[in-house]
Amino acid sequence: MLVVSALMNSYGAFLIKLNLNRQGPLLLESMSGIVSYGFAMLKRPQVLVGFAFWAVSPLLFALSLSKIELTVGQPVFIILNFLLIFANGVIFLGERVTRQKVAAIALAVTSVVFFSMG
Amino acid sequence: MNVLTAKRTYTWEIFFLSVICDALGIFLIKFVLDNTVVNATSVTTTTWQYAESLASSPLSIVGIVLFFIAPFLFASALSRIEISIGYPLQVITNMGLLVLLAICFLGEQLTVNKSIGFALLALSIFLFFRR
Repeated sequence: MLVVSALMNSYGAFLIKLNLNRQGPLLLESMSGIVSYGFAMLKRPQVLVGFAFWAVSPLLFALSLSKIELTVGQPVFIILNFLLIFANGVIFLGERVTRQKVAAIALAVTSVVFFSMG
Repeated sequence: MNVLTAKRTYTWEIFFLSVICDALGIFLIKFVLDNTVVNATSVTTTTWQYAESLASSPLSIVGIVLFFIAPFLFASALSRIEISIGYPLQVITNMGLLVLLAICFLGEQLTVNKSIGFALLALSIFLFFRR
């Protein structure tokens, strides 16, 4: 259930980012422009699926915590998400892989582990 | 591009505002829950008392509003940031800010592990922003 929760969370974020890329960058020039951008995004079915995945994922995560300790479950969930989102970004969105980015993510993962150890 | 005519996008300002909204929202909800006196025996009654406390406290209502605004701010910043940078950065800054708020206001201890976590987090943020 923890893996399914991480898959849903990362896939939800991926779907939203994919559609943000298709919609183009949000311009903060006028309030009406921001509102119409928001409505245009919400008209996209993939965005709604993405938000639904984002909403369901924490519930599955909470259920999985009934069988796994929080100090183990939380870092595993976060690390799985980092890896899945990184892979999705690189493979499907054409984002660059640099040594600096990989090192930053590795440090982020390690900091999550230390925070979780309390 | 001419600097004078270039429009500011406020991408990172919105990004960090989303992190602050998220962490502050969770902190306020946790603060109200910690200060809720529960005197019930069954799980259902306990849950109901916690829900009542959340619904009646202005602090938790602000927290819930901030918690729901945060993903929209994050999504708007994400329209200009690569997801392989934005997502991990959002998670670790959020986690760091929450731990900091818990240490400052909820009486949690700054342990060696948390200190190492903060140092690694700072180094990670430095690498994410280094050109």
